[in-house]
Amino acid sequence: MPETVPQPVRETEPVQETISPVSPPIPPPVQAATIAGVEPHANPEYTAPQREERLFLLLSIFIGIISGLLVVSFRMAIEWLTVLLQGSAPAPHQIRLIIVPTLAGIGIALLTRFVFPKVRGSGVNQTKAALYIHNGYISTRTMIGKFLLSALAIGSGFSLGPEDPSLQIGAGVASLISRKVGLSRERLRIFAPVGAAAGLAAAFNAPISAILFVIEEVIGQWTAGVLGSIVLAAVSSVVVARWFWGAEPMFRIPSIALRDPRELMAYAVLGLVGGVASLIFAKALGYLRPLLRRQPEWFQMLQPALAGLVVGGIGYFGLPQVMGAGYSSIDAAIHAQFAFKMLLLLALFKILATTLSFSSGTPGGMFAPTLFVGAMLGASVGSFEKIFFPHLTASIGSYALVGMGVLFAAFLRAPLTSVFMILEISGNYSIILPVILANTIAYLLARSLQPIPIFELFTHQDGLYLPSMEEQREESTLHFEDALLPVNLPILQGNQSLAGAREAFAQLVKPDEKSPPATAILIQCRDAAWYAARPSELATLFARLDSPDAPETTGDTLLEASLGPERTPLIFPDQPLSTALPYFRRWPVVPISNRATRGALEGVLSLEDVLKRYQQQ
Amino acid sequence: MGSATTETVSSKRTLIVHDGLAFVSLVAVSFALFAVTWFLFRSFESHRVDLAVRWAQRGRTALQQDRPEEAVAALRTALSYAPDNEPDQLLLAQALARAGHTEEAANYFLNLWDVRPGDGFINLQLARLARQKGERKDAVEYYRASVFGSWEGDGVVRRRAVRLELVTLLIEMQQFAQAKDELFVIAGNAPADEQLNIRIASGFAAIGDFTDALNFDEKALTAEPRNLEALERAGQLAYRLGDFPRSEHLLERALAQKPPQSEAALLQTQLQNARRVQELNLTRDQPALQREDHILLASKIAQARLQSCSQQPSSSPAAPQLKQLTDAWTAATQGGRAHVRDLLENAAAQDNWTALILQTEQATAQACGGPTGDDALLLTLATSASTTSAPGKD
Repeated sequence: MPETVPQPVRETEPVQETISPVSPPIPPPVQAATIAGVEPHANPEYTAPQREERLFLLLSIFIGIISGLLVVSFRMAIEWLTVLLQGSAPAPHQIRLIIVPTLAGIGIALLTRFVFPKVRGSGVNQTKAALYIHNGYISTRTMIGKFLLSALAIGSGFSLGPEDPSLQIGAGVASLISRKVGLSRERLRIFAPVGAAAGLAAAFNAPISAILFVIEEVIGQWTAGVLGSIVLAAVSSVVVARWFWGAEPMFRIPSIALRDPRELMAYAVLGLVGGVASLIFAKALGYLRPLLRRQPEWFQMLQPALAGLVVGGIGYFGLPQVMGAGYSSIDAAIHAQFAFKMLLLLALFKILATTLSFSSGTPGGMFAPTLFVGAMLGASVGSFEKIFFPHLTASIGSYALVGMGVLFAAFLRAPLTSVFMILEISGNYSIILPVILANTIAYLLARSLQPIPIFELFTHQDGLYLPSMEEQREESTLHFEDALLPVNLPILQGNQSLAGAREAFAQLVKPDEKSPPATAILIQCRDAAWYAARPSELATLFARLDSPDAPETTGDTLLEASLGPERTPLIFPDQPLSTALPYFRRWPVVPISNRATRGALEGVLSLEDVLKRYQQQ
Repeated sequence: MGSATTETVSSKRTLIVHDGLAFVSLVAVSFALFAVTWFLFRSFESHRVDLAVRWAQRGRTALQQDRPEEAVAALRTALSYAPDNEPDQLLLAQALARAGHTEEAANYFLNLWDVRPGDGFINLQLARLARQKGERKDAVEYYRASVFGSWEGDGVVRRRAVRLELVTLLIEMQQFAQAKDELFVIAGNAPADEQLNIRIASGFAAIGDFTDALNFDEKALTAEPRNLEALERAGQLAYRLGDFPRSEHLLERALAQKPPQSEAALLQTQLQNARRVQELNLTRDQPALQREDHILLASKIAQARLQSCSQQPSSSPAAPQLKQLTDAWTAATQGGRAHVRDLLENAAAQDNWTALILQTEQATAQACGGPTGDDALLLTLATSASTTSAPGKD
């Protein structure tokens, strides 16, 4: 089958057409008895990977490498700018701490207004929008703008993180490469999350967390084909990042061991604290962001500078730790270098500084500030425990670490990612129990107090309606077992002769006043396969017995041989009901087989039954 | 049919060329980007290293000039640019400890300990911090780990110094037996070093092993006869051991070294006591006549003390004993001075008198509190007599 080269999407005009990413592709006609959803090898179309599939995997590696290199450069840029703008040792009462973010805010506002209009925000929602609205399109200008302005913002001291911009930079790289190579629209769309995973993996130096985050928060579902590419891209980017930064985890983690199960109580308290803190954080952002965006244009232009002034002021008057991403302060908290009151102050002012920085429209991410607040709260709970319950032996570092996961789970609503992220960045499995416990408590508490996740809140504020991954996860999917009916159709044996079958068929389809005529006849074939025939199809077949035009058809011919090699697909009760619809184009009903007993049927399903079940939902 | 095949082949060829070009372009872009990133990264890293070195140097200087808070800030900055620099980490931990950030310093050292659990220096620092925090058991463990840990340079000397530090902790913990064991280990491997001998002597003296303490002080004095510390302590130890002539000799030598005014006054008093105690010496190791005079002098002192003490109201359990002692003295002195002299001519009788004198001093001390002057010296004699007759203790 010849393929045509797809026309690349024009860079300056994103495709606005919305295509539902969840609609399943129509499967090809089933040629033989197969397990539904698994393509038969007999189909020549599937005997070898197609061009795009091959390219997809190869390009994923390149996307990973290039994203990794850009993320390394991005982090370098941030650190360069930090030293250049804030000095090599920022400390309170240095006037530049106020001046630099204020001036940078003015520059960022001008560049955002006139050069890079789409760089506001963290990057996660923009990537989701690219996936769900713009067919995977992220403009090169946006990518460059995100790189430059986020680096300037974080380097000058705005309380924002580099991870989410890295995610968008990765997605931008993927979008650019896939456009240049000229992939189909379907592939273009899927490449955005692949690049996002690569960017995030390089930024976090944590491939598993990045993969999980993209699946949990961006794509929302596991798809074998996409998963392979995401893994390849994430691994490639992490290899590149580690080549430059080394293989050490992001933070130096002290020894951690859960010696006393009673400590889990303290971790549970940390979960509660984290849940409440994430609520405060989310409420503050939910209130301030739309408020600032409603202001006149001239005031919006001033907002980054004002935010920079306030954040710089916080640094000037004693807390320079809240400026920038704050990794070194997280490290310090993990190593118990702050007193209890200082930890609480840092958490509080970081929430304030981040809320202002982010709401002002300055480009930058939420991940690092979330980790910062979590680490400070965790360490403060740990310090409290040390003061009042000295017999408990957990280190403050372990609480800080768990605190990071807690805020990640509660604020960003990525519970699975949060657990693996802590495992990856700590390289310590013994912390798993406290992490799971505290994260779950925080997640459940945050969900009950603030039902709308923060990223979804931002999309609503921006007037977009992107799918909520949290809702998707909780949607109940209908299965065949929810709609199937008992087998009340006539059954013929496939090993009957045609003559015998015709007699039996005549008996079975004889008009009866009590029951309506059968809509289909099931034929049980060898090898436990089934064939669902319409009465008209069998009538035509039996008519050939008497036809002189078909001398090869005799009364002794077996019924199943006359039906050809095609059989109804093997479908089991636990499979999703949504996959049934394409089969009704070919078959009047689909028999639902028992997984334990070969050839036994659990029931049958017609198109009417499926529609009726969906209408009941 | 034929044209369709040709079209398919042509289309496939176009695709192969297109994909091949795309692949080559991507490889080229990757290499170019890698080269640029690599160049920038090298420059960036070198700048970070410079900054780390500069701040570390400032931290070192501040630490040397005893400005630990400043050192902490500088070293923290240095480590933010070179987080894996172990010498700077050690310096920061030391600076934190010196600045009084005990908990933080301990955490820092614990992190380093995770990496090098057998490092003698890190264990020593952890021991000191644990000691500061009052976690004495942990401190002992860290001290022992430090003793058996690895040391750069002269390990023998450093291990010995750690043992001596451990001894001071064990003494604080009243673990005298363990402290004594450690001191013997140190003494067993000790070179001929007067300062070391003085420290060992000090340790033995602190655990109450005066004999060994005196021996090590005298060893030190053999090497350095004018060492004031050794002379002072040796004089005092000899006094405590009842060797008053030796004590007098040592204290005289100590005073000859012209110690500071405050010490000199104390030494002078101790010397006078040593001399006076010899005048009151009641032991047999002197001519009988001299002993007799000493006994008569001591008797007067003891009786006066008994009389004075008996007149004081006392609820002490020793009060009835005072009555018995008064009766004993009355009986002993009934025949007047001549009778007393007759009694004293007999050595056994002298011993009995001596015992009565010493009992009187001990009983009056219990009933009326610690004595002063000659009574105190007689009590010292009584104590040293009982010490020399009883086995030594830790």
